[in-house]
Amino acid sequence: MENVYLKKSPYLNTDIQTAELLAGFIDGDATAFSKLYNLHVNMLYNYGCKLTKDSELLKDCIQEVFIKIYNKRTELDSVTNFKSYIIISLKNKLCDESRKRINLSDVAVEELDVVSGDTVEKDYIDNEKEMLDNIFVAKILDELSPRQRKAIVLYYIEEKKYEEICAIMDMNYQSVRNLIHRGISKLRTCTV
Amino acid sequence: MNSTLEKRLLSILVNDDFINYVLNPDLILKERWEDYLIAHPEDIPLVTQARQILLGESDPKELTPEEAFDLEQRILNRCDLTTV
Repeated sequence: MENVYLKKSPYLNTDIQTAELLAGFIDGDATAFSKLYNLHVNMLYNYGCKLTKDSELLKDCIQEVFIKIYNKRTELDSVTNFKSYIIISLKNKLCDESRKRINLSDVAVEELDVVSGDTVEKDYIDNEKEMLDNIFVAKILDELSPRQRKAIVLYYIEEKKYEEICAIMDMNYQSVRNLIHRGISKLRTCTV
Repeated sequence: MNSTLEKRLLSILVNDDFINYVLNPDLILKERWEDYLIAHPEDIPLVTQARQILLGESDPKELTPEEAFDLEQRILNRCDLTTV
């Protein structure tokens, strides 16, 4: 089974270099931070491209990941593998942004129930499923033009009426209907 | 790739265990995923594809040098490291 994976990765031969740079960065070498960025940015970008088609969103998320790394540099010595750490950080950031983009608001902290031990696993699975659904929906929505996306989000997710969408988007009734209809047709072709 | 397969591929790609299995494997993860693939051989192509994506083995997407530089400058500015 392992033989399937023997192909050489362009990323794996950077492990020793990464460890040295990370040690230097934790010790306060600011140039090491820049080198860490240059060594890993395309690995993050390639991975992120599979989760979103929005290149600007992806670059914003990569930016936030590196800023977080910089701000938490004193805690990085507990990181066992820098590559998986930054990939998971990017994935979590993209999930957060996907959730925001499809306008699924988080429940206010005061509304959360304290979960019992036996519901933790179910909550974890539910959260994983929601995270995946959010990424998938956001990725599908990326197929639409910005106006189609906005109209569909307003109609189906925010549950606005056509008249409200007309006012928000400064369009007439028929144009909004056409925009949503064309968007839905496009989404159908994407999800077949 | 149809939407069902794409969603399954995504579900593998966002799985923390899988990410660690590919990038930072230990014996437990290795055994877990090998057992999974033995039990679900139909998922081998998807798992292989997800692995290739994580390792950049299959037509990796890259930022242009200009994009990478601009992004680096944005990050350095935000971290007050413009002199690096």
